[in-house]
Amino acid sequence: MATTTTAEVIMRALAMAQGVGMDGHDSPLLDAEQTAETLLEHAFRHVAGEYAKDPRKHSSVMQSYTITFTNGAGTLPGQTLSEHVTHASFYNSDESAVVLLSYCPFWFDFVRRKSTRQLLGHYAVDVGSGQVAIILPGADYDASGGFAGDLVMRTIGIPVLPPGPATTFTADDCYLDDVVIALAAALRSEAPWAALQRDTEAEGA
Amino acid sequence: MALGWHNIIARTALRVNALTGAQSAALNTTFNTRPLTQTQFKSAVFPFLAHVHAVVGVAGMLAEAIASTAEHPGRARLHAVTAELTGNQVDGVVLPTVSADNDPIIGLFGAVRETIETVPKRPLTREPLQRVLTLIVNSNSFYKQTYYKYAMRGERIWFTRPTAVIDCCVWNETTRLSEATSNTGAPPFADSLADALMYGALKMLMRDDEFLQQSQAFGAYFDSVIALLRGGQVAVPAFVEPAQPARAEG
Repeated sequence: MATTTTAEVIMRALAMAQGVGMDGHDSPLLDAEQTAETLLEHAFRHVAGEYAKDPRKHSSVMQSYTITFTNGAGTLPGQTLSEHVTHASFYNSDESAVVLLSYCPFWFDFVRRKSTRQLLGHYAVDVGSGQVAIILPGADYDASGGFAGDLVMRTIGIPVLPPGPATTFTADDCYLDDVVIALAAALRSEAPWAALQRDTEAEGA
Repeated sequence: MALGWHNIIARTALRVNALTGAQSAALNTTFNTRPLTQTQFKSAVFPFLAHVHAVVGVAGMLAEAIASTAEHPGRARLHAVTAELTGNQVDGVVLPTVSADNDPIIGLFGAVRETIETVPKRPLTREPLQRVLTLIVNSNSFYKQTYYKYAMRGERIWFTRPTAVIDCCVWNETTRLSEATSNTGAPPFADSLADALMYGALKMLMRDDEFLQQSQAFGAYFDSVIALLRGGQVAVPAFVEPAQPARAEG
């Protein structure tokens, strides 16, 4: 895992994007930090999406998000890739013990769950409202008395980017390198970051 | 300029026959007297202060030409900074007209530098106003990086840091007249512009038909120097006497 800052990611991507061909003084990417930051989260998300297509790379983009539940419902972190929450796993707050929850794709089905299976709970995600709901093993759905407390959700997503340029965060090295490449390509208007696309397709083939 | 104000004034005075000393030796003594005062002047047309005002006035023209030329190295000799301005304002800040020392600002503004960082006075880079405003408004606190940007439009400046100063050129005619009268300090130019300053003053030193031809010849040279400076030139050519010089005059 690499420890870095968003300022460093932007700096690396700009250096990579500016260093192509021309005289640096004439680069259209001089003073492009603002554009880079605008595209930053897109790059993180795009690369995570590409990695999600390849199970060998899932470990590089698997993130832990602490969710606070009230009455069995909490806010789905915006950093998750919602199409991949079907493969999420849940842990207690210090990630020392797993909480066995099975994905339930339909809300109407989820709310009818009964504790027939004592060892397996359920979770459902309402992407529209940004909510994730859980029924712990052995419990029934209870909209007014469900689980209250913190659980850690591990799923494919992007790191929680810090609120300031100097605050560090950690990410997988290879993933971070590809984010820099993707951001540099995006800065050069290489939509949709073809270099990374080719790389992923070649590996998939 | 290594040459003091009175070195220039002595040269202009000599060319309009304004110095006392009928014989060569006496004239030479007057020419070398420092500081010059009205005592060394005999001209009823151009007394001492007329020379002071002519030289300082022309120096102001040189200063304006240099200050109006971006990246001209001569700007460093006219350098000052503005008082601290407050940034991150959607409606911008009106550009100052005087420096932090209250000297009138002339010509183009130079670098804009922020003043709040631990590494002081880091330069800001110029950006289109729309991009700078986007950063200042920063909807939903989207931008988290620290930006060092500014935009200028008309008489206003917008920038993305809490405070900043602007490098500028100044010319305080009152201060320079005082200096030139008492021969303190020196014209704020490279020595290579000493002749331009003298010939420019001689352009001014004409009245009715007194020294008219001389004024025209030197004036043409001075005007060419101004044009060269505004074009970014640092060195200027020496004056070449015209085919029909003004020797017959004076």
